[in-house]
Amino acid sequence: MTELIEIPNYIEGSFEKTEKKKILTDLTGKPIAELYGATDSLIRKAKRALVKNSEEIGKIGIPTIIEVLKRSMDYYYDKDIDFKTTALLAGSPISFVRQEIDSLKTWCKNIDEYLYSCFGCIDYTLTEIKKNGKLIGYRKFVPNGPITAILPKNDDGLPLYVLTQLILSRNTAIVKPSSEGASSFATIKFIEALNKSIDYYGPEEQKLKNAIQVVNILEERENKIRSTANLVVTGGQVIIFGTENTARALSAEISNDTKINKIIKMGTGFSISIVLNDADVNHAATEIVHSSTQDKGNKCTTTNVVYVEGSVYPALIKKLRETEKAFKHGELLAAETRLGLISEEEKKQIIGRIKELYGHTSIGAIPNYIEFKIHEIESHDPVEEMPAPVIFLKKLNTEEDIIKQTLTDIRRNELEKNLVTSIYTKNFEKFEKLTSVIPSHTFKLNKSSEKINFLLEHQGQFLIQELLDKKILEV
Amino acid sequence: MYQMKTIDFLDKIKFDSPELDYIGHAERKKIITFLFKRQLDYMKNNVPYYAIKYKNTNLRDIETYEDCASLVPTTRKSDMRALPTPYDLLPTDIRKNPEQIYLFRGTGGTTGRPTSMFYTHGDWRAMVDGMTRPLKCEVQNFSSPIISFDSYNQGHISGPIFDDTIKKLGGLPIARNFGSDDYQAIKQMEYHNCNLLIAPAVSTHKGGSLESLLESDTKNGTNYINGENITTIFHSSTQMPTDLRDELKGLGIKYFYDYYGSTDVLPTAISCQAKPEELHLNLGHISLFILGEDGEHVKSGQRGLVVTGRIGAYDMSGRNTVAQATQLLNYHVGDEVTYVEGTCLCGRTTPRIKNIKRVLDLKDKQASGCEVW
Repeated sequence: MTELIEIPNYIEGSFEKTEKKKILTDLTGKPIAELYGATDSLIRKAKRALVKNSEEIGKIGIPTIIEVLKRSMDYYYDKDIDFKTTALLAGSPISFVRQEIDSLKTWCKNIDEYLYSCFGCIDYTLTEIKKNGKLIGYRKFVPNGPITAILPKNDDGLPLYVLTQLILSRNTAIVKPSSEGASSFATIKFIEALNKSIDYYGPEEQKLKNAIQVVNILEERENKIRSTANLVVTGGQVIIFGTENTARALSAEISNDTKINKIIKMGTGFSISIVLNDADVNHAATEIVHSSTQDKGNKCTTTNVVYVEGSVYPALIKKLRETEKAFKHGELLAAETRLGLISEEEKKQIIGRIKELYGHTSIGAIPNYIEFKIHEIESHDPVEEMPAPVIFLKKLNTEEDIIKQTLTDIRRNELEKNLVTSIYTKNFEKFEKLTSVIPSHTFKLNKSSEKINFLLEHQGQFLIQELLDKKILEV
Repeated sequence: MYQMKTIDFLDKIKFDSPELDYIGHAERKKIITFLFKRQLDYMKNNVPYYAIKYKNTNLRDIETYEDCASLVPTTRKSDMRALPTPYDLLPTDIRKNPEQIYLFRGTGGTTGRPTSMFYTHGDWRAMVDGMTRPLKCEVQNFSSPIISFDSYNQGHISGPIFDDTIKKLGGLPIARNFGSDDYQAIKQMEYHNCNLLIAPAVSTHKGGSLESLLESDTKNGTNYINGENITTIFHSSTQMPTDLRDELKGLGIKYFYDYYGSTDVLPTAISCQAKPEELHLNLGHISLFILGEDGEHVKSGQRGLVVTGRIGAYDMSGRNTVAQATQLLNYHVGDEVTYVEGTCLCGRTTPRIKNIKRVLDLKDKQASGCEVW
């Protein structure tokens, strides 16, 4: 019998196993890992660590942290088994896991570029403000309070993206990975890699081992919101990744009894694509398919809805139909497999919802698998984020109709802004015009919606900046 | 009428005397048997309810400690509830002259009518003596001066009994303010520099628990509950979970005293530092027997049901006498325990109980009613 991978909690520099356990399996039900839940005592220990270590962590220099982080990437997912475990736990194709993790590792290895993009410099703690070459003051960024970060189950690159910024912000933090998928595995792997890197350095850097606490919550759904809210400390900050509903419920529970500095919600999705009459149809079709079929088509940047201007519609649908057939069900660990697997329960919910909205669907014949499918729907039909590799095509007569319909659909989804809108056109003016009226965080010109540029703001914000308190010092 | 024989050292018995915990158990059994029979005689002759209940119970038949357990009918909470009034359990004299009652506290109420307990000042002093008896030899386990924080609801018996225990130890008891939340409670103990914490271990309706205080302490970053501030913890109502004890020890808190008892009879057992999971019977002002399924006292290592009663108090001149106000003997507290005899690592010779499990009146325990009407 193969030994199960152990995924412990991590508190004050120690990996903590408890009697609260959950077996994580692949989608066939084969056990892969043992996830250890945190007891109330461990959770309190983690919260104490936030306060106890905050002063020391706040004193560590940014260049030192950068060096430690860069070195840690030599150890993060440095074995083939790490990618395989993630693929099996998450139900993601290994090709996708490799691409996702490797691109984020590259981002972390070049973290100075990201800091430069955020702050205009690398050591952001005190930056000069000049006017006409004359120094008029400084911008000072200081830690804004202990953080509780709640990670989602559907993004295994996110632990690296978030934990890197938590450490760089020099706030102490509790991270709660999802107890489903590979979230907890990817999180604890980051801690292991970070610690290996820290071991290379002296006593000052050792303190970084206490910066982050990882707490696994195994409670059933109804108690999970309450238990998760309990991780938040007074005067702290909260980062919530998840659906709008989860974010709302959690915010309400947290605000109920804890005075906190800030809640940062990263739950927005509903990414869309628009194809205008002058678009390069072949290119647009390739990009759209790409943006709909990443992993399991379940990312916040996944395009589910495409608004197509009338005259280009026949050519686009023809091209899309051709690619539709190219997708085949395959083994997760096979290099050529492009689409991942989901649980039968999730699949049932998704198919049920599609049938509820449109009356029929032909997807779902293969167990744990949703085929890539294109649905042509009426322009006025309701649409929503669907965590599956499906495209809903809406044909509209004019650019103005497209604008009206996107606004209606975004509003119907109770969003102030959707995450990404990809616009396919050869005319930059048209692109620029649409960006003025459509309420999206990010627009992409002739690029698929799922291609995240990690050097830019995500959901309209640089996460690290949100975790800091900015002060202006006039001199 | 049965003539009580006196024991020559009876007058010398003080319920806070540590000797009671170190004498041979055979000698202790003789003392408890005497006090028990004295109480039974008093009840038969002074409480009409017991005159009927113990009509067929002959004191002459009760010769040994074990006889006290097996030959005297037990009383249950349901018996108390069935009485027209709780004053039926008082001796006639006190019922006629209720000004002799010093303190009243009620219990239960969530699953039936609350039960009421009355104590004279002499009763109360004996109970407080019982509370302090194991502590007298362990003064080194306390900060000086003791400033305690009593997180119990003062409407519950644990409020005044722990406060008076601290007073008897020469300390200053700070009572948790009525209606304060856990955060305010922490601020209050911080303000008074409290060094001894009194609370139920885990959540009950009797007062803010150690667990909930710790939750608040960590959530709000006050982090007051640790060995730098708190030396000792008194807890009761429920046994402390191992991980909670480990957490508190990890925070540097050194000494723990687990008090076992109920509003009806207390304190009946107290833990020592050598074996915290075993509670030493507080025999003296109380009797406590463990009955097996056959109604006989169990042997060491066996499990059985706890029956207890108040058998001692002080008179106005401070002499040892019978328990005065509400009368209870061989009262079922509802717990099943393992009985342990033999000298403990701490040196005490008193029998112990361990692995306490509530088996009767479960709903009452779970709802933890505190005189709910």
